[in-house]
Amino acid sequence: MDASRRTALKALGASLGVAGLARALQPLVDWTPATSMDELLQKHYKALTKEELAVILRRLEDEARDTYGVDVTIEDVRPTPGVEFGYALNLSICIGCRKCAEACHNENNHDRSTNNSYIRVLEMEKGSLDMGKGSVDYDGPVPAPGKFYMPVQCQQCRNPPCVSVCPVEATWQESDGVTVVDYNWCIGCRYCEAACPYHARRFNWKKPELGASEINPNQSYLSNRVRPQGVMEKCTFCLHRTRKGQLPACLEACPTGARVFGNLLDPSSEIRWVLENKRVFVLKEDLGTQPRFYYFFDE
Amino acid sequence: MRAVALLIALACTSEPIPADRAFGPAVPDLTAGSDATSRHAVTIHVPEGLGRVTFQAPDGAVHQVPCSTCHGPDGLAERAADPARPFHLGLTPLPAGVEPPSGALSRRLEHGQLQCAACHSSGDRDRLRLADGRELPFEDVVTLCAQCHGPQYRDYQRGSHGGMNGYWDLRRGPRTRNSCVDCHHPHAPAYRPVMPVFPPRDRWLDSSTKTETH
Ligand code: HEC
Ligand code: HEC
Ligand code: HEC
Ligand code: HEC
Repeated sequence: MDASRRTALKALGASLGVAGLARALQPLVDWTPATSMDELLQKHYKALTKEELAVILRRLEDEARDTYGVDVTIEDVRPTPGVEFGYALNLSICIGCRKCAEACHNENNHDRSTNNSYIRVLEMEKGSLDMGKGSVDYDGPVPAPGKFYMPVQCQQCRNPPCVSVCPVEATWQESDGVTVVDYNWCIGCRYCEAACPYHARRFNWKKPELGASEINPNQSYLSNRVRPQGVMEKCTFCLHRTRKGQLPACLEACPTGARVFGNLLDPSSEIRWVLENKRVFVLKEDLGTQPRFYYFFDE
Repeated sequence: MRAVALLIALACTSEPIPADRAFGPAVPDLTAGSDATSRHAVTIHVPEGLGRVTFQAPDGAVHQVPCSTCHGPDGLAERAADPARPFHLGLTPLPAGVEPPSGALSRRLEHGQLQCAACHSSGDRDRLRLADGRELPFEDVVTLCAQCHGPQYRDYQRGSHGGMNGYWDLRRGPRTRNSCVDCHHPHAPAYRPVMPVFPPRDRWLDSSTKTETH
């Protein structure tokens, strides 16, 4: 997918109507056999009816079977009323083992060749909180003397700069606080990547390489289904798990127990206890992004 | 694997889903009062072979035996205390000049200045002992740790120490907690350094994420 496609589509669509548009675009479709006519004409996620969405999900499942040789289930899991997710990470406990990044890689069907993950673990000098000084390619054993470790992933901001810069509204914040991407609507302009102060967004430079046995078949439309080439992707707090009440994969994988996840709107939740009883802070607070991801040290 | 139920609860009630939300799989409406819904259980994991001594018999077979195998009224330990026995070697100081036999684990008690009796019952070795003299089965080891590590135990109870698995939302499913001894060996509880996994590989087309973020 390239930038001109959506732009052209949008302009043309207004004047031609759908049937005319389909005819006008036929040559383009012929040039890019990977893109089906159905996909080109798909509506924005938010505009889809239940029936239309069901058709798309089945189509995507078929495509996954054809491309990767594996049966997958792609669901559309919606936010739960009364739930707003929050995440906290105990920096006194984290030892920098990167198991969270590995779990993310597997859970979210990331490209195997690049070791892509929505989590980067920064090795930091004790006493400094400057993300820019963190190194990501440290080698063990960990924790190294004088260092601490700070995993960084999407902070699910209340004020997400990535959302406001998107020229086509392919990314938005949902009612539970998760910022999502409609991979079928994204034009891959990468403005959001540049706008994110936490370097939390990734671009799919190529079609993800994944063996059939490596694919996590439990997928959802807005999260871990295998992304097409040329679109943006990001951490969704594993919404295909968390919207069903389960914990995110990175939390379960943490061998040290440094991660706390839960519902910010539930006063009896673990995450609320942390916010009320630990001295939490957020990254780059001065930017006004208001993250829902918090860090703390034990006193 | 055995598990101790902390909270046993009734199965989750399923609530009606407003029609306009019925796109994906059914989700309960959590706006209802928190006491209105029953909760699933939280269980504490009990490590395999907890409170047992693992040793290899001369025929090569590996045995996991309870303490009372040797520490009974008629037990081996009571009959013939042999300081060179591999199973406690290193935990108890060796007599001067005695070398540990080959294959023996080099273990030492590295837990403050604690003595065995701070945790193990002297009368019944199959049980743990609290400071007030009360005895506990090994499965309740968290209670033992809790009496000396109040802040960590409080954090553990509130979910911010020790990790968990399963459901954040107990209305929809159960949760498992680790035992303190899943992560801290009671005799040498300091968390050991590990080798990190999963080094980030050069992303062949994306140089901006190669080494540093800024
Ligand atoms: C295979 C036999 C065997 C088993 C099983 C065994 N012990 Fe022992 N234990 C001994 C012997 C022999 C001694 C005495 C040797 C010594 O003093 O080091 C001993 C001594 C001890 C002592 C006294 C150490 C001291 O310095 O006072 C403690 C405490 C102890 N055992 C605890 C346990 C516990 C707890 C278990 C179960 C988890 C256990 N033992 C299982 C053989 C055994
Ligand atoms: C801080 C409390 C504590 C102290 C102090 C302590 N133990 Fe233990 N010990 C435990 C607990 C808890 C277990 C069960 C852990 C397990 O099996 O994983 C255990 C397990 C054992 C075992 C069986 C597992 C193994 O490692 O072989 C032996 C034997 C044992 N203790 C002997 C001793 C002796 C001898 C001493 C004193 C030198 C001692 N312990 C001091 C808490 C303690
Ligand atoms: C009788 C009191 C007592 C009990 C019971 C006890 N501890 Fe400790 N623990 C201590 C003391 C004392 C220290 C040393 C504190 C220090 O050095 O500042 C300590 C230290 C530790 C440390 C820090 C070790 C380090 O070197 O950083 C850990 C972790 C720990 N204990 C875990 C446990 C666990 C897990 C249990 C239960 C199996 C347990 N403790 C049971 C008294 C106890
Ligand atoms: C999932 C693994 C895990 C579990 C379970 C766990 N801890 Fe820890 N604990 C850690 C880690 C990691 C640290 C930090 C170690 C370090 O200093 O790098 C820690 C630190 C500690 C310390 C030392 C704090 C300090 O300031 O040095 C104590 C004491 C402790 N834990 C007690 C407990 C007790 C008691 C339990 C059970 C209620 C428990 N832990 C359960 C992983 C765990």
